[in-house]
Amino acid sequence: MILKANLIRVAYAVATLALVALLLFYKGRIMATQDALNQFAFWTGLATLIALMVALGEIFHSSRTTKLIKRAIDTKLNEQARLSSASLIAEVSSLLDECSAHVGKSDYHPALRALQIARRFNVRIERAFLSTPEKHVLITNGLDKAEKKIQIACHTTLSAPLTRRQQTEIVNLVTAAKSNIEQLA
Amino acid sequence: MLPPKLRDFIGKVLKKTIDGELKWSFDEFNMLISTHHPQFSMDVRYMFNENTEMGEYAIFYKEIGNQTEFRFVTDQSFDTDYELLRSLFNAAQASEIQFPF
Repeated sequence: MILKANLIRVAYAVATLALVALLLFYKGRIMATQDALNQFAFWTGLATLIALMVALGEIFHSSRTTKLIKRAIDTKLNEQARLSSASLIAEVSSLLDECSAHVGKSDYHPALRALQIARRFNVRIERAFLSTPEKHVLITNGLDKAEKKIQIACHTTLSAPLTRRQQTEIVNLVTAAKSNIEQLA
Repeated sequence: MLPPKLRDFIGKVLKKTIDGELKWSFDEFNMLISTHHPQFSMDVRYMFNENTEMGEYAIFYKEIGNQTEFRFVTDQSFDTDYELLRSLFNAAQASEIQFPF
């Protein structure tokens, strides 16, 4: 397992040993004359410089590749989050429709339930990938206000109902939140 | 709590309304009934108070020839007043309707 993971390192270690062995084998011939030694020094120096350039180049290349891969993964994730957010937005919007329909019929308990489920979906919308996060804050505040009002409305009775104006106020809050949610992207 | 004088008066108004002597107009959106009499005009407005979570009736009474508008408010914690005004509110709405049979 370890050998397999380090295959390339093992390979170059073997190659290095071979190279050293080769040089030791030809040592006598290289060292025989000053001229041969100079020749050898020149060519090995050149090879060392080339190796240096290649090594540096490879380092820069790999760091750039890493960055590109990271960016590609980010875009993919972004798309995924956007897709799941889009389905959540559709869900929230239909729940808010249900909520305002119930409010219109003075049926506040189911309205409250629909709104609370909508809020639960709303918090699951990925904020990090929204291009207009300030809208999301607006929606959350609007839903909060509406929920408080509907909760109060749950305490009304037939002899003490909400007025039309108060009902309209709640419906307006819900509708505003809905239109804001549809503009999220 | 409404002053006893006013409560008596509203009782009389209620009776006149039921007898058809007083005509009211009803504004559904504002939950407001209003009537005009040669000697006075009166509005009664209903609202649900979101702070106290109780129904509330406000009476606006104006004498003809006098600019002052008197306001009286009562809510569900004063049972008899509330029920009296609720009866008036219902009677006033009915005064506007011409039932088919």
